[in-house]
Amino acid sequence: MTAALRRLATLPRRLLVNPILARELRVAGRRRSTYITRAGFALLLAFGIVFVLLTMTRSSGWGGDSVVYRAQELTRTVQFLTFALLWIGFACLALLGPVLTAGSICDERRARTLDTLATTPITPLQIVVGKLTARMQEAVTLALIAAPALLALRVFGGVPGETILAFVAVALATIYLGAALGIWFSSWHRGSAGATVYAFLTLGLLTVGPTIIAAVARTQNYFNAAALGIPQEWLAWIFNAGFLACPPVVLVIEMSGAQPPGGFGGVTAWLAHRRWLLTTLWLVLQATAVVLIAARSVRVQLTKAEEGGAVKPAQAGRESKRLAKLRGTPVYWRESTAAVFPKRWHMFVVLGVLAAFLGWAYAEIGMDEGSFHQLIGFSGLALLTLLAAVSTTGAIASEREARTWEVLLTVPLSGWHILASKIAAALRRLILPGALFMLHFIVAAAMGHVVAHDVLLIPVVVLPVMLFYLASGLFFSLAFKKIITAVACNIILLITLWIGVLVMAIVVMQVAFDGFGTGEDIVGTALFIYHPVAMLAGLIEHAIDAGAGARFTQYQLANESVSLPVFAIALGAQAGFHLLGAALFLKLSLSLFRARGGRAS
Amino acid sequence: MIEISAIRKTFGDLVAVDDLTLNLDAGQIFGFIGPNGAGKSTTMKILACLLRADAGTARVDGMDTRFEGDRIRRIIGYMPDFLGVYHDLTVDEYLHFFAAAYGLPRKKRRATVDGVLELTDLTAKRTAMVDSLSRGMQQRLGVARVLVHDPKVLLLDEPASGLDPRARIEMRELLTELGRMGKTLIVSSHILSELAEMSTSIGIIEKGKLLFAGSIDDAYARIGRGHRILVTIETEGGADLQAAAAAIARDERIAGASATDTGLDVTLAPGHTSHHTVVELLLARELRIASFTPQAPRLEDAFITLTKGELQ
Ligand SMILES: Nc1ncnc2c1ncn2[C@@H]1O[C@H](COP(=O)(O)OP(=O)(O)OP(=O)(O)O)[C@@H](O)[C@H]1O
Ligand SMILES: [Mg+2]
Repeated sequence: MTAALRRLATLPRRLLVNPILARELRVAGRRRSTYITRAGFALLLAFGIVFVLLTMTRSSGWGGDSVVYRAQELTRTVQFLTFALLWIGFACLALLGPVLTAGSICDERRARTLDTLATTPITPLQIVVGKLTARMQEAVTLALIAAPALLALRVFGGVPGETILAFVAVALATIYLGAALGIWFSSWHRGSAGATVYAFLTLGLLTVGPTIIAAVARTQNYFNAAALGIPQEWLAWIFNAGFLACPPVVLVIEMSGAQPPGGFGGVTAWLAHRRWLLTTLWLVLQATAVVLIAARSVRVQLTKAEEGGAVKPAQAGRESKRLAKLRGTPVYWRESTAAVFPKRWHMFVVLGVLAAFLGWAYAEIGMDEGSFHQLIGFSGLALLTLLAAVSTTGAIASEREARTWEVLLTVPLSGWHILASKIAAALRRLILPGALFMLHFIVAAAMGHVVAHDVLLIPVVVLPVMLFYLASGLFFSLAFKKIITAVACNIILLITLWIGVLVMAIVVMQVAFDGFGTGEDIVGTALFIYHPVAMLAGLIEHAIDAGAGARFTQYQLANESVSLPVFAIALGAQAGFHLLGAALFLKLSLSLFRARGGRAS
Repeated sequence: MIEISAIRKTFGDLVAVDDLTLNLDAGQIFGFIGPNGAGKSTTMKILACLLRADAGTARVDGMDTRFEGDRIRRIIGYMPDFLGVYHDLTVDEYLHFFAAAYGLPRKKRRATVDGVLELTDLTAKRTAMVDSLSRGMQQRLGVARVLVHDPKVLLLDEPASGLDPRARIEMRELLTELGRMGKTLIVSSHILSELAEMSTSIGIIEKGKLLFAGSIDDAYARIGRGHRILVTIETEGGADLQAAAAAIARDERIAGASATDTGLDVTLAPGHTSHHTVVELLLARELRIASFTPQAPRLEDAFITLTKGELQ
């Protein structure tokens, strides 16, 4: 008993005073990128705050307005900015979680240092906790840099301190869960890119899944409390718990100060107003469970010899079929024929879960529900873009890590050939998820709920966006040695272009045009055309309306109704913008390859 | 075939290759030796167009490594000291991958891959995953890979490391055979006796400086040590080995001679390579030769004498 207590008491020390942690921290401290990240982040923050001050000086210059109006205006602006910063910060941190750790174990395995670790008395839990803490401490540092700055903004009437606290807590809990998932998948996946994708998908499943189920269950009145013989508020509580699982949803509720439908019967008033606390707790709980699972998984890895193994004779036929596909593009061939799923049954499990979920959604919500198509459209675009953003970032770095890069550079393939092959192969691997995404709309079109020609236009939105992030990912992969840095840069680019630009535009409008008015419509429409999410939403909205029989509905561009040719031009402009960006990144990659790709001539 | 003139490569303050000049003809096997960190791998990387020399020029088959990388890559086979393997390929696929990368037509690939697998004795492992191979087998696969496109020049960075004794002998025979086929080889190794046996010339490098380049005999001469021969003498007749040794040592063609338990230990003077001299002297003293064993030139001696063994 006392022995057990002593073990428990020394657990934190044993976990944290740990050579793995010390080594990782030392290496991170030596890395220049650590400081660049911190400086960049602080700069971004300062930038935002300068904007607030700029806004203020401008607002104080207004002559005619009453003091009360000015004060209100100021409060509104500061509030908007604070929320914008909070949301961008949250998105960055939440998406970075899996990226931070996805390479942690598989890199060690590839470098054959895992075997060495296995011969030391370090426990698997120490390895997992050490790596997790070391890699998360950067995120914690960033969050801690941000919090006081945002709190300082309150002087000008920003948002309540508790809201800021809620954002920081939920963001850190989300990154903890993401990082824990990253390390778990890293322990049994061979490459960090694969581990990243899996961790993202699981994170999405754990956070968004319960919310969707709760939402549908609520609206469909699945359970009849009276029939089940339980108090009505218990059910409401369970459904609300579903919403609590999703960090962004909770933050929206926290931000708006709205009561969730149904309230929290039976829970104390104090806690009912601090739902974010419950969410944080729930995330931390899940993450801790994942850490324990990951430690188990690492233990299995440590004791099991690496068995690349001989290919069974039964598979020999399959191998030669694979070889038959090898023509004049070996780099493309190798990457595109590599298994996306380490085991075949993984694919069936993933497809099965997806099919079950969609089937259930089809049955429950029905194809005639417009917001359902919008939801699929948005999540599909977001997911495909995210997948594209992480699938080339390891293309060069992983070859460098496996030391195959040098060998590849001595073959007479041109840089252009190698880079284009990498992008083509990554695109090829995204065909399956892309096809599934399209399948939904094709089925909906076949059933007459959406119009077919709009469905045909969906790839015009999605493909260029994917190509853009594939190309930028390749560029970052060439620019940075570490896969983590490349992935992080690409995801930050994605967040900047999707959220950051919007925020900037709004703030600039505020500063330049004294709030919205003069240029509002033009800028609004331009932003709409610029943003893939908006364009896709516009397209799907038309598809639904037209599908519902409103024959002569027009397309929506922000607040304007336009005809198909005009919308097509807008679509072309957006696709062109992304394709141009992709070409630019490819060009940059090529120059980077020539300059320091490792070839002398 | 290979002309390096006064190349220099620095990494920050560190001079990895310093004013190195070297010329090799086709069909030569050049053994490249030097202590750790001497600059062997760096030199090879410059020849493989992976690194750009800061000064000087390097030419392969008349082509400048700075400008004609695309053409040089077609005629060289470079095997790095660390073999990178694609973990998701089988041996067969790995070789086909490179065959395709070198632009071999599809129809020829099968035969070529079969050929190099046979040559490197890996046929039995053709369906194994590359990363499941033992280190020595991976090393052989590396050699198989560089032979796929039948290059004129082979740059092999420590090809024998990790090989078992039998495989090492086979590797040596393979490399000798490749030299006979007219290929030019640059082979670095730490196992000096091996290089001594197969190289037509050697180079000793330390701290980026080429201390010596030439034949092994030259290296031997350079350190002032001639060929050494162990002779056993039939001593039934009561031959006086001590006296014989002293007498032979007086000859100007002999650097030294001493008596052993069963015979004599004779070293030829530098510049003298004919073993017949020793036989002549022995017969002149009417000694009966039971056995006559020329000692393999001791490259280690040359190496130790010429290099100081300092790490840079
Ligand atoms: N990329 C690099 N950056 C910095 N220094 C390097 C780099 N590559 C090599 N060096 C340095 O250049 C020197 C020569 O290295 P090189 O690899 O050519 O030696 P080597 O003769 O091949 O040694 P070994 O026998 O150990 O393989 C070493 O001091 C090494 O530390
Ligand atoms: Mg070396």
